[in-house]
Amino acid sequence: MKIVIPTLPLLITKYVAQCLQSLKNDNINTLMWNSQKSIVDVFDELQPEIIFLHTSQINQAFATVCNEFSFKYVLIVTDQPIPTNLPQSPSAIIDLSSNDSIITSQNNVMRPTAMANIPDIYDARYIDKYKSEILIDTTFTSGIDSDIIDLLSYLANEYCTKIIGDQPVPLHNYIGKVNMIDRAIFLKSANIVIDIGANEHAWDAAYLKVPTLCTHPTNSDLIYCSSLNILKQNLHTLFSNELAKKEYITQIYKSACNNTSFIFTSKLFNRIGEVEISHELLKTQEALL
Amino acid sequence: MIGVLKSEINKSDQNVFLINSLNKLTKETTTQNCLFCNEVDPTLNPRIMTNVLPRIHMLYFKDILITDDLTEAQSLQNIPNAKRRFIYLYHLEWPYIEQLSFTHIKSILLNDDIGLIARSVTHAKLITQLFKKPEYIMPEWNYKTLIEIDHNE
Repeated sequence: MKIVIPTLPLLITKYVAQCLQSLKNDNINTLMWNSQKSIVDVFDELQPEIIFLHTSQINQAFATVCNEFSFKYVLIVTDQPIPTNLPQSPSAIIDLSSNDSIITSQNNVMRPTAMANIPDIYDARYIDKYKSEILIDTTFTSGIDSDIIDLLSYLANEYCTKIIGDQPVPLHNYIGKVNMIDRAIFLKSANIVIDIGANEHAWDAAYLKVPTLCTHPTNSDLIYCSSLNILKQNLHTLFSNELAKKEYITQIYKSACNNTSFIFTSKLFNRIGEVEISHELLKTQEALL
Repeated sequence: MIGVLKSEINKSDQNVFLINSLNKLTKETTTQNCLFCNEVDPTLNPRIMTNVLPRIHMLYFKDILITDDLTEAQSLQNIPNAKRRFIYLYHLEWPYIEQLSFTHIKSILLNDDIGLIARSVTHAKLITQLFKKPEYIMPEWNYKTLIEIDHNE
């Protein structure tokens, strides 16, 4: 089975592709499609059984391939509305829109939230050179404003803090962009991970059994710190109370294991009627736990 | 013998301290030293009173090599003959590098074969937290620390 996923700058397409590529099944062939290439060429060359498409890719060429090929597709919706005259209905819709009202009537809609992406971190290990009391990853952070700089400055002054990620920060504790492997090692070698973004790092840390604090509201299992004072109190508790730390790790690990990219992808494939792939994804996660 | 690797010598405070220190070693001590550098500002004051060699000669250098330049430090890992190699983190300049990648930092500042030198106790604390413990603390290219390094290594 050929599954084609476009190379969009969206985390969810990356997660789905990584999970599918983790499957040890030669019959499933997951291919990344350079979105600049015509959809007609993709179908001529590959004849995919399943394809992921963004609403911006629904055009006349898509109508042509709908007439000539038989396939299922998953529609990815951001803030652009779904075209009304779709030549073929999507098997599932991934709703990434910031506005809840874009899709209301459809029942095959999945709205992903932050999750642990196991393929990115499954090989994480502790390395002494990478250790830190506090780790912050600036990737996926929407903007580094003065409040965040104040927070980071406090952490840099009080703790052995390392800051990594795509967004540079004007502090000496910032040591640059990291690749997937280094990021996983940094997460695993940290005492506490503080997530200042969309909580993707928090779930990865939770899966790696590293306590994590978030500065944005999230799942009730993860500790949300709405102010610097609350963050200070929680840091103090985690550093001074070993029992509380252990309990928190157990709780968030359990929660992270139920909120992974494998589980999301499995649910998605179940929804589009590919039950075998769905089961295989769950089995792969179980094998990795 | 101490060899110092620089991309260029201009009129920065850092370079003036360096040249003063190397001149002191040449005039007042028995610690041998040299400078590997391709460009020297001709108006530099004080004048350089030690041997200045083209950078390519560092490949044949068999003693202690120090650089205070993170760009030059990238080549330290490929210098085969030096007995010891050090990065002197004079300015904590890495956050100012555009598109800073940890891969570049890792290969030099976390390299087991390359030692670190800090400029002050405060710098040493930060460098220890982020990378590894500096082996020496040398305030502004202090020539006495250079003598100590030469004796110890």
